[in-house]
This record gives sequence, structure tokens and C-alpha cells, in this order.
Amino acid sequence: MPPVFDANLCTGCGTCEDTCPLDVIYMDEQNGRSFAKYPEECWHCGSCRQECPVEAIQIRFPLRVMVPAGVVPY
Amino acid sequence: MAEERLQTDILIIGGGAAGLNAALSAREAGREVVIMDKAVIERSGHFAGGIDHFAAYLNTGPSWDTREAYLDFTARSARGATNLEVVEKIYCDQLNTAIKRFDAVGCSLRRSDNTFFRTQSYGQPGPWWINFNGKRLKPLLGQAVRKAGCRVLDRVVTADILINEGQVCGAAGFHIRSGTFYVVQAKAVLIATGGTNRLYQNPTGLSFNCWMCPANTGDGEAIAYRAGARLANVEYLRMTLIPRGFSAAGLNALVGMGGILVNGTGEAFMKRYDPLGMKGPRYKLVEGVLGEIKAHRGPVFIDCRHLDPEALTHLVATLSYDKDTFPDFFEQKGIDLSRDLLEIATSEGMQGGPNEVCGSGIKIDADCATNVPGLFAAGNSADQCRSLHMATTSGIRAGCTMATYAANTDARGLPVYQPQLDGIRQRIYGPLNESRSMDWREFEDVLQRILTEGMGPVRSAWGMKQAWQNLDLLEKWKNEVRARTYHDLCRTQEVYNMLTVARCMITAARYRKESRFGQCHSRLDYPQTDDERWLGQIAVDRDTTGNPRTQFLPINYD
Repeated sequence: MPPVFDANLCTGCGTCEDTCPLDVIYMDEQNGRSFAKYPEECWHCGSCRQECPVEAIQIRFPLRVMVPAGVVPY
Repeated sequence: MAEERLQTDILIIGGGAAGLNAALSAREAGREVVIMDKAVIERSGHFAGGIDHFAAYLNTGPSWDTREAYLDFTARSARGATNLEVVEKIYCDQLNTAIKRFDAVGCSLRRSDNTFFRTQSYGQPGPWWINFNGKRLKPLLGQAVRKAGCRVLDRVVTADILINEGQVCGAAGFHIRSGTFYVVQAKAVLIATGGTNRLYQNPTGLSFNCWMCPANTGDGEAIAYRAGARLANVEYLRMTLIPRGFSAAGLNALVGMGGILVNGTGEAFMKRYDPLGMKGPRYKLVEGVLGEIKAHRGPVFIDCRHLDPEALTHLVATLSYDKDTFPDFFEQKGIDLSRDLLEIATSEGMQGGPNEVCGSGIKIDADCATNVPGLFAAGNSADQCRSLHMATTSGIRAGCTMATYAANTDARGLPVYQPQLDGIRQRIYGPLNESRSMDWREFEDVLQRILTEGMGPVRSAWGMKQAWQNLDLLEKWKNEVRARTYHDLCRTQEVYNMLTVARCMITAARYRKESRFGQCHSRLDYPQTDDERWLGQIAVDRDTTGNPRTQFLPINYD
């Protein structure tokens, strides 16, 4: 789920791709914009958002983070 | 597959706080340095998104603010796991240099009025935690390293250390986007790859939603072990408290600023678990929450409503320095700490040292050297180091000692032993084979289930034996894991390395027939701490058949 890119603001500069410590973000070869190729591998660290020069990135937490429920192992 | 070869004096594996500080110190001593990192060093590793605390005594007058107090606390709180002579050399002796290093790279630990904002937590005798805005620490360190003339191999993951005639002569790895095979010949190699995460089930089912960096998967520990290095303190489980659902760093800030844990009846319960209450050690806070939930007095919350507005403002700010997305979490959950309780849960488990002043992993001496000639370790991958303060200081120490080591080594180091290189190539690209069918996620999931069940906060000989046998079964599927991209090839390496660390962890935990540091190593069959027999470390290394073997190394604290 996170990060979410605003396609209208994204300039395709590739900064976010280089700042992701988990190699989650790639550039779409068709439209030249960033996208989360491996969203389930996001650590929610916010590195991409901090570095984005045009503030095109928002963090949207996955449902299972927002609504934690169920049996905890211990 | 394309291949690139490089030569250098010093190769640093892992460009986090420890690795980059080592690189700067080695360059200051005039050595050539190459850094390999899985990601891009400006935003890689555990401090990628930021950090807000650094532990230091500052000699301001009170007895708690001294080297003696720090060593005394370390000896008491990490008794049996910490080596004081190593801590003195790698932390105390480097502390001043470390604080200056922050200033030099432009990320000062001081506030604008030149003072330090200090908080107290985790059983420490005084406010040793310096709060600071470390959101740009990694970019600044990364830029300083490049400016200093270090060669950086971004997005290159290390597969193995190269050994010739029993001595380290470099390392090999591959690029996680292009697949290019990299061979770096070096006189000395530093492992600074962090700890081992993603080893236990995450309560949300999201493996990468973990407390510490999910890219840190025990890679350094596993490759060092394969190269003949000893690991120590790896039997210990480490957990923390998190906002339920969001496995984020930040407990130190919440506790340090005065947050209070309360149970479902509103009772502040921590005094029942530790005389220091909320100022007790982290593992006691975890024990308290586990205890309340088990006694059906949950859910558990942290209450910050009593904090004055200024303290609350600082708390929310410093939480965002530690975890940049904390404010987003609050906003999306609709939580206002001045008004609302924050539900708390225990995090996923990880393999880690017992507390903030002692680590686990590759066993180092006071020079950050391992038992393998030419191999060094620092930061969270070394057995004595933990947290930013020891990542920074041990990095500085390692950079200096390696520079001396490399200067004394003849010529450009030993040549690479080609048969070893051929073996590594064959092994690392194996998962690209189309005949394989299993996804690394399935392998990781089963590994996490095994560890969570058998190696959690309650251990027993039978449970650990069962876990071991389950790992035997899992191991049979190892050659079934398929990678379709180089990104997935990196993940495949990670789960293999996690399996290696899991083996070492179980081996050490089965050997230690006592309990120590609360749930870090709590055995049903040996519930007492037994200093007579077990005051020391268990070293794990690889025997000639490739299996882990143990050796007890007593530590004298007199």
C-alpha cells in the first residue's frame, strides 16, 4: 500500500527509487513515473517521501496496520 | 553473467552508521576504501529514515555521567554477554571522536543553543539518551563518504567472504538490479550489516512491518560464519513494545518522556514487574505487557495525557525523527496523545542482544577483529555493539584498526582463490533455475513459524529440539526456492542467511541450560539464572562437517 504517488506531481526524476532501502520503488518504463513494485516489502520508513523534491509521495498504511486484530503469538 | 573486479585496501560490507563511520576513519588514515551495500548508502539500513537518540555519558559532574558509571551499568545489565575491555576500547575511547563526527558531517547531537536534550530510560542510572534530529544523518554520512573518496557499490549484495590460505582476501556479491557479479579483492574486510530481523512471525502478517530494518537479515553473521568466524550472544531473543499494528521504533521516546503503561482497567502495572517501573529495562516492559495480556487484563495502552504541552510537542517530534511516518500513523488512526490512549502490543521477535548496551552476532575483540585473519565486524552485526552510539563508535574503532592492519599487509593482499569463486557463482545464481518452484515468501513464512513456536519467550529442550528438526525438514526445500528477478534473488539469499542464523541461535540456546535476561532466554526446564556455570558467552562456529558447534567462554567481572 505505502507509498502512494501523485501521478500529476511526479516528474519521474527517480529520486525515490534511489532512496528506498528495500528496493520497493521502480520507474514505470511506459509512463516514466514511479510506482511501488513490491508494496508488501515497504518498511514505512518515509525515506522516499523525505527526499521527493516535488512532494508527490504520501504514506498510506495497509489495512492490517490500521486495524490490528487477532491472536498475538505469545 | 557479467563480472566486475575491483581491488582495494579495505572493503566494507554494509553502508549503515557503522560502515560509513568506519569508511571515514579508514580514509582519514589514508587507505583506499570500497563500500558494498544492498541499497543506496544515503538511505540504507536501520537509520535510513532517521534516528532520534544516541547514548552518551558526558562527564558533566554527577557520578552517573561518567565512564565508570557506564561500564558499571553495562556489567550489571548485560552480565554474561558483555566484555568490558572490548566496550572500553570500542565505545568509551571513541565517544568524543563520535560526537565530533556528528558535528563534522553536519548532523549535530546538540540543539541550536549548543546544549544536549537528555532523557532517561531502560534502567540506566541517568539521562544518557541524547535526543536529536537524525532524519538526515544517513544522507549526510553518505555524502561525506563519497566526498572523502570512497568507492561505493550501491545495490550490491554480498554473497560470501573470499578466503585464501586461511586469510580474508575480499568478498563477492551481485547487483540486485542487473545481476552483475562483483569480486572485490581487499586486504581487510569489515562486516557492518546490522542484526537479524524477519526471523519471527509478525502479528500483522506483514513480514516487512518490523521494528528494525527488514533489509537486515543476518547476512553478515551468516557469511562470517561460513568463513569460519565465531558468533556470540546469538541465543537471545529480542522484542520491544510497539503501537499495536505498527511495528515502529519509538518506545524509548515514549518511555523517556514519561509515558505510562496501563492495562484494561486503567491500572499502571509496571511496578509489579520491576521496581523501576516505567524506567525498567526494555525486556521488563515487554514482560509486563505479556503478563497483563496473559492474565486477561488487556488490552494494554500507553498513557501520555499527563505530559505538559511542551513535553508532548517534543515527544511527537522526536517520534518522527525515530520513525518518519509516526505522525501519519497517528493521523490515519485519529490518535491525539494529549487526548487518547495509544494501544500497545509486543513486537515480533528478532535475534538480538539483551539490551541497548550489548549486541549479538560476530564475536569481536577490542580491535573489532574476529578470529579470522583480516575479517572485522562493527555495529549491530558484532556481538558487543548495539544502537547508534555503538554503531558509530565501533565503526570509528574498526576504521582505525583496519587501516593499521591493511598498512601492515604486504602488497595488495592475497589473490582470489578461483575454485571458491566458481562455487559462489554457482550457488548464488542457482535460484534463477526454471526447474525450481517455491517462492521465497513461503520459505520465510515457514521459517518464521518454526522460530515463533520453538524459540519464543518460553523455551524448553523439547521445544527447541522440535524446532531444530523442523529446520531439517525446511532445509530440504532450500534448493526449491526460485527467483524470477535479481531483486528476488537478493530476497532468496536473505532467507538462506536467516536459516543459518536460526541454526546458530537454536544451537546456542539449547546449550545454555539456564535462563538469562527475562524473555531473552527463558527456559521452562532451567528457569534460574546460574552465574556459577553460565556467566559468559556461548560462541558458535562451524565444524569441519559444516554443522554449528559450541564453546563456552567465561567472562570475569571482578
